[in-house]
Amino acid sequence: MVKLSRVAPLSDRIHQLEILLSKSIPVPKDWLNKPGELKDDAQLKIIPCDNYKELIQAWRKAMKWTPGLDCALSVMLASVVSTKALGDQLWVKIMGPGSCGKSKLCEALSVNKEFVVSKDTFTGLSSGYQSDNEGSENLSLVTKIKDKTLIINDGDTLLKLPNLTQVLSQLRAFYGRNLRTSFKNKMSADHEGYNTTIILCGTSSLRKLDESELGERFLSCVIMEGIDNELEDEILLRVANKANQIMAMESDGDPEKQDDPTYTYAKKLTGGYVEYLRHNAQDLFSKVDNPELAIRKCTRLGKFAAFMRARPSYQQDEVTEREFAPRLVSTHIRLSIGLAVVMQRKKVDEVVMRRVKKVALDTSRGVVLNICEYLYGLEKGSTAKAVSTHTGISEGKANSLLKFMRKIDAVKLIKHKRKGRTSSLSWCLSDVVNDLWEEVMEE
Amino acid sequence: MVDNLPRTLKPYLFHGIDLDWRGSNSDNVYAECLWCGQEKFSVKVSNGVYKCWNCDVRGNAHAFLEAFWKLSDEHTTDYKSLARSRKLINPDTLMMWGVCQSYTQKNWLVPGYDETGKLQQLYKYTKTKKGTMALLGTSTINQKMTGIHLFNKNKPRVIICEGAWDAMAVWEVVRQCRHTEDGLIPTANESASLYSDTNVIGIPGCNTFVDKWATLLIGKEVHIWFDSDRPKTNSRTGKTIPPAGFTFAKKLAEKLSGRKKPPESIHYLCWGKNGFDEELPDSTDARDFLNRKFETNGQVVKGRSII
Repeated sequence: MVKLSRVAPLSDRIHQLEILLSKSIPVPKDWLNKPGELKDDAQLKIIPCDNYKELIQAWRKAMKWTPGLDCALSVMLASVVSTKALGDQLWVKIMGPGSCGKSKLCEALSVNKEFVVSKDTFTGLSSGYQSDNEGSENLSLVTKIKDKTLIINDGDTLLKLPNLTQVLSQLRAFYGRNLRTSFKNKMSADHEGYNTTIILCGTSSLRKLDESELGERFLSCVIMEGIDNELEDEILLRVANKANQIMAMESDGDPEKQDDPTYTYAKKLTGGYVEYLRHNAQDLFSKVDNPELAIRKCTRLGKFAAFMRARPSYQQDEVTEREFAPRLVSTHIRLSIGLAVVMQRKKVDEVVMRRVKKVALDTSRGVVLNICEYLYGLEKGSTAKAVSTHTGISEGKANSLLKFMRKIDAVKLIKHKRKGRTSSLSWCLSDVVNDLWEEVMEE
Repeated sequence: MVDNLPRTLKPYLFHGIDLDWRGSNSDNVYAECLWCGQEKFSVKVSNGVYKCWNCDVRGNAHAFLEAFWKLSDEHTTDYKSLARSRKLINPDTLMMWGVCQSYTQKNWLVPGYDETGKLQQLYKYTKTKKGTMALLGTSTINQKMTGIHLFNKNKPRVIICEGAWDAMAVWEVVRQCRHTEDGLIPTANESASLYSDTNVIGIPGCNTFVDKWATLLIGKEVHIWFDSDRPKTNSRTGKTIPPAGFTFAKKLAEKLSGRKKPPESIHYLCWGKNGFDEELPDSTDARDFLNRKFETNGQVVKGRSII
């Protein structure tokens, strides 16, 4: 007789179902989390990574990887790794035209939620909102970014805030690791000892922050100065082909499938590298050797940047002064060691210092740098009119800036005596700035 | 299948579309169209989009799965053999769950759905490399749930079963019984049955639960019915691996309860104090248990015997 598969009749199954229902009991309380404790949206899982070359290789496969992007990523990672180190904090501004890849880098760092907090919109660090009578819950952003890196993806919108002055003053105070707020309810609080680095991304409009003195807290890194036509054409073709290929694919909400797989992989690897850097920061820093020469170069770069980004005050015209350089020197040193750690160099070598110099020059960019660049090497100096022509600013502005630069000892006025004719005046670099320029630009 | 096959062609080859791929350098590969019979069915290698240049059926891989399922379902008439082998009482259960025979390969197919009820996966009931029969998902397509097309969001209770066959077995009994003071009794009235306030769904395995699926469970009374797995020993390290079903039920409960909008309550099938029933064979599932009483003694029951 053939043994067939036995199928219990309904009556038996109903009896068995009753047993199953009696076995279906509430889960133990220790299995339960508080509602909202876990994020609703699925996140990318990081891939462990402790090799910088492997990370860069992944990025090269994901997109057209330019030297600007390479430098920007390493600077952002240097800011992240230095979060808990003692000393002046390393806050960086990453600037570039639209679609140059800033957001992609921000998204990649944001994959690691443990050490990075990313915000697309930023309205301030503190909130006086009181959610209950006791004021037990502080909803301020500052409580969420302790010992982490805050990435503000679209820094340009920061400039449009109606309470920009207040926000900028908060940020200035927060640079000193403390934020003491006062509200007319129970939400006043003193936040002290907060190690937080900030990465601000946006277009060149971010230079407006320099006017508010907040710019002094940031070093700048420019991904792309102007658009190279050939590079743009190369990228356009690549992007067009990719867009054509992926249009027929649907995203099902799975974060692993939202983007091109090579880019997703690069993001996950970046998240893993952030984790490696933060978990081993102290150990990695201690192993980097910083030669005397590199330290001296950083002092020159710091002083150079202090001169170059000096501007006449918008608040008053009684006193003319420039930024004192120690903080800039400190942050450049911090950047150099951070970059050495990120790039897995044993010491702060030429490769690292090239990037530090690039950041120093990006931080120094502006009209004062342009004027100094023009005046350098002109033994007989130049007139304000010629400066105006070569730098593209109006003669009035050129005059005004040159007078300002004279007051901060960046330029000097020299008199040329001519036989039988009135002497002429021209502007040239001061000895201090001339020497600085030679040292910084020697390579 | 060739190892270096483009990813985009795998879903079609998985379901027996005879694409002429021999490491071709051309952008399109061709096969006979299942809908019109002409050799004008093409798939673009770069993005997996298909199109028949004769009858104009077209779409991406997901659209293909849906169209292929419709075609296979239209041509499936006999469910009895599968119902018997899967120990289901009623062959109609398979039909209601969208199970059908592949138009090309004659394997049985089970549709998988996302949380919105869209068909996005076709599982093929086939022999694995180990020689056992299992439901294999279409290559390169994500795992999905089964039974979602029958899901009614107004019902307060959801039973989550481990696998489509378990879900079907539970579903067909739940539809045919109702509560009384003396316990559960048979009923032919579905609106009075347990099914009137209970959904039954299947997930592909106890290790697979996509976060988005949890949106179906917001505010519901959730019952997690996974298998009675025994603990195992890692042959390399000698460490004891806790029971898989019990472990995953715990993880799922943690995940669901921690969401901003959690279920109203979470229950699990407590087979035994250590997470499994010592008297039952390893990996006993709900379907085995529903069928168990009749199988274990093999004696004549209520005057009927098939041996």
